[in-house]
Amino acid sequence: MKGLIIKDFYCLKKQFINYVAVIIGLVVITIMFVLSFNHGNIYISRMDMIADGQATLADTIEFANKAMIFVMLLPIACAGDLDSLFRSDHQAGFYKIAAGLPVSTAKRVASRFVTALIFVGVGALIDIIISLILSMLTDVVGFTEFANTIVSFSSLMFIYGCVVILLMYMFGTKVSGYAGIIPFIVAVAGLIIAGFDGIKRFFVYEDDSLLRQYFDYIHRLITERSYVLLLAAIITFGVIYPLSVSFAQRKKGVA
Amino acid sequence: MDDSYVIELKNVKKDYGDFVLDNISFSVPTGSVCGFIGQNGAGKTTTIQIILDAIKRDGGEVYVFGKNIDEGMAELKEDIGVVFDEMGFHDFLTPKQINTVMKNIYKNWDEDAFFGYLKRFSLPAKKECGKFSRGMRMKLQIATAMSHKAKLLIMDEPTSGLDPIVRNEIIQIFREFVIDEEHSILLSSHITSDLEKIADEVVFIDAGKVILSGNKDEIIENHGILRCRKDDVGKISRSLIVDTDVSSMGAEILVNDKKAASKLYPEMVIDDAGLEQIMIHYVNSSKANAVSDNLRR
Repeated sequence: MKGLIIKDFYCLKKQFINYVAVIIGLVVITIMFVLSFNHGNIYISRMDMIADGQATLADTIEFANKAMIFVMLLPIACAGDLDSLFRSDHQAGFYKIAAGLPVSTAKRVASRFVTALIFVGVGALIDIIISLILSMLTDVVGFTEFANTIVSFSSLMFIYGCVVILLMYMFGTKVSGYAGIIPFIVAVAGLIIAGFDGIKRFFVYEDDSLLRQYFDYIHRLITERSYVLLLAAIITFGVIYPLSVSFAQRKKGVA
Repeated sequence: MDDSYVIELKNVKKDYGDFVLDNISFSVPTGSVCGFIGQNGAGKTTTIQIILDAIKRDGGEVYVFGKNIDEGMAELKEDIGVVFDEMGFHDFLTPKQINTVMKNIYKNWDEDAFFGYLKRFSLPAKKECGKFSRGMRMKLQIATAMSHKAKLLIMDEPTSGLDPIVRNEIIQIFREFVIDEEHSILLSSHITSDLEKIADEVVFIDAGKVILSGNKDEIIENHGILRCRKDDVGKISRSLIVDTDVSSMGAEILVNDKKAASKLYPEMVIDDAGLEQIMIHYVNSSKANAVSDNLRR
């Protein structure tokens, strides 16, 4: 199984270069943002807004807080284009070689999940290191809040990866173009349905109070209750892994 | 199960709808090279995939090293090397990287043997294998298949599309592999000349059915091409005839018992038949039988 994971990493090598570029870019942007927030143009603008009564100091810090949290998620979001792994194996005809290897189908499927977990884990680790440094440099975001957010988004990315893997085993590489998009569309649709009342109120009555509550709830879920999404990720894996093995065994060579 | 066979198939079935592998049964004796002969689309690759448990079969039993593959094929694959007609490795992988992958998969992976084969085959260890020629790709697969102390090589058209010199080189490697009689090979090919050089046993497959199997030398010895005038075809015993090819020049008949035919018809010429001729005649005969079966229905 270890050999298959190494092979997956070779396959994602090109992507790894993009990944490193994203992280370097992120570090540069974050440092610039922190400097500007405390001493540069952003500092001047927020002081002007406070002087004009457009915002309070707390508002500007909250804005910066949310902006930084979402920028910080990039390393996790860029972690592992799993459907490209399946495509690459299919194009090379590796499934034929895989059928001759002394690795059971269950282990072959498990190797895909381990690859997904490693990629998300690496993204999360990089984020934790950056956030630790940032939380020491600025008081915009505390390390606990950062850590919670990272765990939440890592969990979401792992759930996303699990769904992509399941779709690939269910439908094969012919859905590779959609496998990465379908879970994303489902997630967005889920968010819209869950916040439908707030969205409707905002557009029909121009009242954003319910929508704000909804966003605050999601924000709290991500930044304070990461264990909920972590638990969801573990349950998702528990359900999707045996399902993927079952589909892979039924098709055999596809795995 | 009998340990004297490395592979045993019993009434194996696979139905794809438009193609059926129909009750395939044959066995590969330990220490032998078994040529698996058939035209393209005859069912060779499907059979190999079933042996490797890569696709589900619809019936029958498969034994590898005397063990039923349903009881766990993954462990048995430690002792099997597999070579396909296409390389299967990603184009961007180098042989060195393939070594890293494989040494983390096979318990018995022998790095020294692998790099030894690379050297012997003049394959660069650090060049992307996508830049290799077809012959080099095939040699890389063979090097990989033979570097984990496999006892059995299963190969699907390994020599197809290669020039005669490379083919000969590869056949020589296979000869060395089976020299100690503990190693066995199942070699699928439609290039009968390669099999004539190396095979001990042959299995002919056509349209999903085994039409002939047995010891290669005995098959070649028993079969012969009987040449006669068109008018004399009726005189030949039907039990001896496999297939008849009648042209304006006369008739060419594949007989299944050359000695009996020469005794019965001493005035007629009986030439030796090669595997290719035998295969062509059996395929023709099988087609003719299928047509007459359909007409009867």
